[in-house]
Amino acid sequence: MLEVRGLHKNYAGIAAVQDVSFEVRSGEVVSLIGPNGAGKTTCFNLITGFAPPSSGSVLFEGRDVTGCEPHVMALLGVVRTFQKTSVLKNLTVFENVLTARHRLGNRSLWRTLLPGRAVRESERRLREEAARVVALVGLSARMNTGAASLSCGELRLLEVAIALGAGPRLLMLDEPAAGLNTEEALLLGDVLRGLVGTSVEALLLVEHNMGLVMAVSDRVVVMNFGRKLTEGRPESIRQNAEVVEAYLGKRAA
Amino acid sequence: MQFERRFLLIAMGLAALLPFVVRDEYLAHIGVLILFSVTLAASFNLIVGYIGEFPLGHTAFLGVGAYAAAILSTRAGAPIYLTIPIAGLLSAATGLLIGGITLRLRGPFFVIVTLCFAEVLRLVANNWVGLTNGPMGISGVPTPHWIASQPILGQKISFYYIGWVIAALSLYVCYRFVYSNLGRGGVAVRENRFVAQSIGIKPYRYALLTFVIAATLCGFAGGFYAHYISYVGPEVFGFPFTVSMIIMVLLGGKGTLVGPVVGPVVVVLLEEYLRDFQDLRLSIFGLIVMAVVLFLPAGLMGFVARRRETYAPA
Repeated sequence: MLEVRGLHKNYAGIAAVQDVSFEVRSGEVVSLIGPNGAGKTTCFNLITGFAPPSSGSVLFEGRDVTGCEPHVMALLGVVRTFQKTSVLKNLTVFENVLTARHRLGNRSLWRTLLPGRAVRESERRLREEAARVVALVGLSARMNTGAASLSCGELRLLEVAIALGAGPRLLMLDEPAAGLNTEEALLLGDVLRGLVGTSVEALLLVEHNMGLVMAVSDRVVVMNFGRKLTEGRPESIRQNAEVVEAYLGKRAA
Repeated sequence: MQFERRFLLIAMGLAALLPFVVRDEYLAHIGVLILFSVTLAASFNLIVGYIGEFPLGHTAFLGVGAYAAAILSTRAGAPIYLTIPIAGLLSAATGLLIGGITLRLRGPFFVIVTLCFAEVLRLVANNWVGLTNGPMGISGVPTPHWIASQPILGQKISFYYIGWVIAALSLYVCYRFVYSNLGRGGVAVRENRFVAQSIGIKPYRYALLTFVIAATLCGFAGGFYAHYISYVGPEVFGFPFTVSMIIMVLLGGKGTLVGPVVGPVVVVLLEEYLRDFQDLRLSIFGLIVMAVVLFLPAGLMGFVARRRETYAPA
């Protein structure tokens, strides 16, 4: 459903991403891995319109969406999270997710000022759905807790809940397990595995936690120095000499 | 949500009954000032509290509204029930124009450029003598016959009720907007622009929508001001009005709906009370404001009434 073709991005002469192509098919969990600075987050920014690509194209459902504004991508059903924890921190867990459902509610000013039964009904539905999303990621116990007082692991779950709240078809998570301990990462893995096929159609993941990547991915795309190194099934990636070299360096002669 | 709703209903209900108890010209005048200030504060708070930008040039809309009403009623003889709505519409158009340009900027840049717009409008009002009568201002903005024919107290109370209707309308619009799907979109922009975009909200569009609503309310207040004071000069674009809007909103609690009701009551009463201190008045006032900012950064109502929506399973 998502196809990336020959993506390039230059920042003042530095090629952050060069000729990267890959595909995410419906029903798949694809992980984008690589050492720090490999260009994974830049790829995310290029796909979701937070930065325009220097060249190359992004296709969603066969439609060219290269350089569409971020909110347009979200309205099409491509919703991402951020590497740096990003939530609406003065709101509660419930309010965060309710806000995320914004695009599915009433957006007419006239009906905002003079709400009728249809608007009240839509608000009621939004609230129920938001509560269900909160339950789905396992934060029900924290429903009315302020986001500012959540633990690091709970914040990561909340980010996933916000992205899910927007009703994505393709969910793109940027290092959802960063800062989580092993146990929390496993919990997150369980949540993510359950999403594809039920709440979202496909999942694209940037992640450093290899345990999580190997456990949830159908396919892994490896990047290094802005280029795509290889791609394949998790078990074959683990054995790949180039990948091992990118992470650990060359074996001494 | 429930608290804010009840508070606003009770406050406006009591305000509607007040003239039956208080039969004093001076107090009625204070009441009119408070209602006028509530409208201004509610308008200012929409931008500061729910978009998170600081519009130092908010007097632009007060001024446009005031001049619109003054010119329409003195030149074209338009009645008050037309001049005030038209003042609001013209302010909305001005808001669309100024907001359309300035909301592409953020933080200090936005603050300075909005301030510049207000200053430019002040200079225009000062120099376009043909339209605005220049520094002399427009005096003799007519009071409607049904008000002018009453004794002074009756006149004040009539204006009090017009002010009440405008304030009530403003608070209603704010309440509906803030507690709606659109308002949540605005809050998302205030809290985190990147998250807002990632969930399908275009920050610029929401900021502009809020800005135009705020400008409209401010325009109503301006039109009302022109008729009540019956004089409009270039100083309506001046900085003192902005300062009092800032003080009232910060004191009451920005980002709350009850703040812009409590703030004006406290500020207007305090200003009147401190008249006894003559030259020291503004200094004492400044100290009180500093104390509030230091010790109650969320404002007087900030700790009781943040915008909240809780979920309880049905």
